Amino acid sequence: MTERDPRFLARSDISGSALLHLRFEGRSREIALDVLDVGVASSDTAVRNAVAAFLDVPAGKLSAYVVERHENGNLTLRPEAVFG
Amino acid sequence: MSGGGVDPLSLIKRFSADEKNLSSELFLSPYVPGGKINVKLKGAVYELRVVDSGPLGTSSGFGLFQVTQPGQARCVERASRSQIDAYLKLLPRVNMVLAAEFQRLWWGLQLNTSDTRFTFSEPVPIRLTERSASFQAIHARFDGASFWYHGENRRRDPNIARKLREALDSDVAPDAVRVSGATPPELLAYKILFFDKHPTEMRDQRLRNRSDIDRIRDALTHSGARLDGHWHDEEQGSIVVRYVFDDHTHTANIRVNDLSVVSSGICLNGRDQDFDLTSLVGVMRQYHGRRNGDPDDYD
Repeated sequence: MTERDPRFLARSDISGSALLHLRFEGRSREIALDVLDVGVASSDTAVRNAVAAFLDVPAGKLSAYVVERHENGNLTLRPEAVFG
Repeated sequence: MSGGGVDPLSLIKRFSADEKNLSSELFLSPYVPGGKINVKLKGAVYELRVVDSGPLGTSSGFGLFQVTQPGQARCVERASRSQIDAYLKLLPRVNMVLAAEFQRLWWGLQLNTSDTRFTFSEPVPIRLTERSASFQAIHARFDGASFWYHGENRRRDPNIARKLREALDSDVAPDAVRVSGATPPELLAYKILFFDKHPTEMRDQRLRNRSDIDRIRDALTHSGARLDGHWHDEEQGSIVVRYVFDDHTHTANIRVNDLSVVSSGICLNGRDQDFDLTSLVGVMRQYHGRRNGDPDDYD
């Protein structure tokens, strides 16, 4: 499912769903995990590939992104941090 | 076989004979390039690969097919309008409203949700649509796997579709649309088209009617952190958030509108703005991990 998929657009109410929080190119958004068809048990590569497909961007754009799994079932995909 | 059960060998022989007999007959089927066609004979469904699309060429449509060898078929001629009608009338009819075109298919929603034969609340692809437009009320036929277009629903007031299109052209927000007679599926179709046209509005709509503090709290909760305190930074026009996770307490300066980070509270090589409040929690977890548990809290 991509972000222009009518099924995704019909699901604007995502309350109660486990979510992936994405911070990508200076923008933030939440995507329901069932839309991406991934979960906390999915590999990092599977998560990155699912988000890349959803955004319709090359998977390489997210290759350096960090996947975080939270105890509440949510995921976060964010840029790598460089500590000074 | 004893016990009066079904003999598997005789079943196989029967299916084989039936499939052979198929080659002497023409049958009508919808065809989509690259897809397979199905024919049902004496209760069994045969899936066939089209090896020669003949008069249909590279286009989709209804054709008359003939089995050439087991598992394969070729299109002999295009089906006539009356043949297509007769075929579609064998399938159960569903009243639908067209929403949007996506990946070269029109997607529609069930218009009559009280129809108990089918219940689907999400859009589904409808194949072989003709002269289609958003909000158009149509009849579709369901063959158990796909929905096939079978003409406009002329009983539906066309003014409803026209007014919805006008509202969409005027960028009226979905919750502000007022069209007399419009049903929930038509309004859902409107929402789909509106959010397709204005993708950023989708997130804004989710955030609407929630206070800044609720948004901050939710952003932290996503990552397993909690809000411990907050105050406004009048000079920066931002908000300072104190948050707690895993016995660590940190503060960060955050933009109120999108919760992006102005200042993370640690040195991130000037890349603080790469992050927002939710992703910052993970960064800080990583920071503590790197320090091997050495606390750097300042509460």
